[in-house]
Amino acid sequence: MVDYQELSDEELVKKSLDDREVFYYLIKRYESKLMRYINRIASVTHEEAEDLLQEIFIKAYRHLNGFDQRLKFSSWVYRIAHNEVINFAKKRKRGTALIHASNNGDTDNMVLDNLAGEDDVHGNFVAMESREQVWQALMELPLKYREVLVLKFFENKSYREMSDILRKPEGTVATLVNRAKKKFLKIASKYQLEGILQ
Amino acid sequence: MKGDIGKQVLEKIERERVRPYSKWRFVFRRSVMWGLFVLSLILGSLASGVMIFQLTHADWDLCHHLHMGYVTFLFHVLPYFWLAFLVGFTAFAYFYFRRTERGYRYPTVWLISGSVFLSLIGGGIAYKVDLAERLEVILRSNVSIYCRMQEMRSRIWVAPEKGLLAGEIVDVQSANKIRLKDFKGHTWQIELKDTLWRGRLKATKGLKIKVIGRMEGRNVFVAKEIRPWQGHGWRRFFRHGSGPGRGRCGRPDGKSPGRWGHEQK
Repeated sequence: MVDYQELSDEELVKKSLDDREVFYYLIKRYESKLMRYINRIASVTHEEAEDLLQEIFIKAYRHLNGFDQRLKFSSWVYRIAHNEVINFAKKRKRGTALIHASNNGDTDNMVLDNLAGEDDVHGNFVAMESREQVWQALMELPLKYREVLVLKFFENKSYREMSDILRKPEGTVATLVNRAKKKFLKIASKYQLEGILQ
Repeated sequence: MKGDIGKQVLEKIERERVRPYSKWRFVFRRSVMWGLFVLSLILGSLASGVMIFQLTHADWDLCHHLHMGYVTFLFHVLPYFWLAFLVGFTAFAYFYFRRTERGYRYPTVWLISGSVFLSLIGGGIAYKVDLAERLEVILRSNVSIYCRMQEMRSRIWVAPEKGLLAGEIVDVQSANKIRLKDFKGHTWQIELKDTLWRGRLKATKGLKIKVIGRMEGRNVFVAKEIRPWQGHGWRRFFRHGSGPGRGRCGRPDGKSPGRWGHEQK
């Protein structure tokens, strides 16, 4: 009897191609991570986030044969998530409005909770006094800058992983992170959040 | 999270009969990207090959005659048509390589300089094996617009006040005098005194030549040196009988073909 939870992502991918039920274990491994990621980079309602998540996993399943074993599965599935969020924003034709929209209700609280999660938040963020202000400052950033900050400081991705997710050279990613930090600090000064990201 | 996303996804996969795409679909896509990348490099190589051919056959010694620096002269003789092609194919090569599995990992500047470098290497090979020259010959023989574009670059030779003249011999009056019709249709009396004839030429009616010398009066030009209209690099061109004289490049003004660059063996 195979204990699927013991298998690596790559082994699960291979087995999922023969038995789609195995794909369930991959979904379980990534559903909460990807849900957090979606909520952090796009202001969407809970229902929209769930729909997006479903689409991401279905797209991942369709493209399983295209998974490059030289990459980490996590980078690959985050890349799909990144593309789906961008497509979602375009489809709704709200583009900037979607990604700059002020959040409210459940999603707001959920994102703020995620921001404060001990397991994945960068030290400087943990130390912040006003989670809501950080969230607002982050949401004022254009998506491309917000996304790199989220990947670097919230998802703790390396530059190589970020390069694989965003399909950009590592140097470009590092430049984007630096620019994003500068822009964030500029916005953060409005909320007296200086010191964050330094 | 409200429901079990995993179960919902699997149900949807079953309900909508979602199947993983065949691995051949991905293999095909990757092959297309690599194929288009290689094709762009090959076409870029041909463009740079013809550029090398045209640059090596430019009259570089005119720099001194025209009191021009090499850089200024380069701007006069640079094959912009082929340069544009090289830039275009480099852009295509960059675009397709970026879309290969891991092409995104390389910095743009590396990819572009790498593509240009590979195209120049390929161009050097194309030039060495005479492929570039053949392409030039084929285009000059069959594409009139290409011919006219190339002739624009030859206008440097219609500057009698600077000591440069080019045209067709219309009459051989004596051993020291010929009449030449330049590319603007103006007729000149060419004085031949201690004139150096390059390319083993002999004054023949209908021959297209380039003359270096000085203007002495409105219609008189003293020749110091005479060259064939196309230099030694064009020998195959004429040997194969497919030169501009027999193709679209009959005359610089695009009219009936003549005996362009007729060389004596």
